[in-house]
Amino acid sequence: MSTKQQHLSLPINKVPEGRLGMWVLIAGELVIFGGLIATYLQYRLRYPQWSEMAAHTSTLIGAINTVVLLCSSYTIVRAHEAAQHRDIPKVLTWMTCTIAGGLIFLVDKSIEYYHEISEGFTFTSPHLQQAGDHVNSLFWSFYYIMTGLHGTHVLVGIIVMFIIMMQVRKGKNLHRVELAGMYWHMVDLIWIFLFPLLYIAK
Amino acid sequence: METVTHNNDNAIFPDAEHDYHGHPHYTRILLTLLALLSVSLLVGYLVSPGLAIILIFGTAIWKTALVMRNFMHLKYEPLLVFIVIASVLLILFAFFFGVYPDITAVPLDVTKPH
Repeated sequence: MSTKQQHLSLPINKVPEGRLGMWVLIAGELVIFGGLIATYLQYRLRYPQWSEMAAHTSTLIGAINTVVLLCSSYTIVRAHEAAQHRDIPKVLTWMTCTIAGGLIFLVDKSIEYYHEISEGFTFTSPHLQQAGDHVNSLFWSFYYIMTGLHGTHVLVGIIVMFIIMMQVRKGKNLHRVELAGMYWHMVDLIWIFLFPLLYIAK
Repeated sequence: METVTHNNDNAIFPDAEHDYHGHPHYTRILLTLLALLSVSLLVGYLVSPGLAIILIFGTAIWKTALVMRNFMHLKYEPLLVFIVIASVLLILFAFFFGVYPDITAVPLDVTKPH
C-alpha cells in the first residue's frame, strides 16, 4: 500500500488535532469568501459595465502582490519543513521572510487604496451615487469588502506568526509553525481568486 | 503506519523521523505557480476575451489545487478531510444558484443612472 493510500484510509481521529482544527477553520473561511466571490460573480455577469470600474484597479500592483503571496507561501512551508527537523535558526529565517512578504503586501495594498480613494472610488463612492450610478458604486463596495477582509486576514496572519516566532525562539511550540502555514496558504488561495476577478478580467 | 509523538505542550507533533506527511519539491511547485501566474497575465493580450476568461480561471483553479495538495499537504490527508472541503464547495454551489433569482430579478431600470 502506498503512503497516499495509507493516509486516505486513516480514520479522522488519526489526523493531528491542530491540523484538523485548521481544516475546520479553513472550511469556515471558504464559506465567507466563497459567498462573497459567488455574489460578486453574479453581479459581474449581470452588469458588464463593472469591467469599466475594474479598469481603475492596478494590474501591476495586483500582480506584484500575487508574486509576494506565492513566495511567502513557499517561505512558510520551508519554515514548517525546518521545524520538523528542529532547526530553529532556519525556522526563524523563513518565518521572518514570510512576515516581510505579508508586510510588503499590506504596503502595496495601501498604496493602491490611496490612489483609488484619491480618484473618488471609496466604499460608497459618493460621486457615483450622486450621479445615480448605483451599479458602479456597488462594484467598489464589493471591492473594498473583499480586499479589506482579505487584508485583515493578512494582518492577523502576520501578528499570529510573530507570536509563534517568539515561542519558537525559546524552542517551544514548533508544531504551530505548520498550523500558521496552513492559515497563510488559505490567505494565499483567496487572493489567487480575487486577483483575476478584480484585476485581470477587465 | 506513521507514528506521532507528543512535544512538551502535549500537542500531537510528528517528529522528523516519523513525519505525518512527506515534503514534496517545494521550489518546483513555486516555479510552476509563478509560470501559471505569467500565463494568466499574458492570455488577456494573446487570445480572445472568452477564451482568456476560461484560461485565467482555469489557471487559478490549477494554482489552488497545487497549493492545497502540496503546500497544505491535502494529498496526505484522510478521505474525511476531503469530504469536509468538498461539502463546503457544495454549499457554495447551492448558494450561487440560491441567490441567482435575487440578483437577476432586479430590473435593470432601477439601478441605471438617471
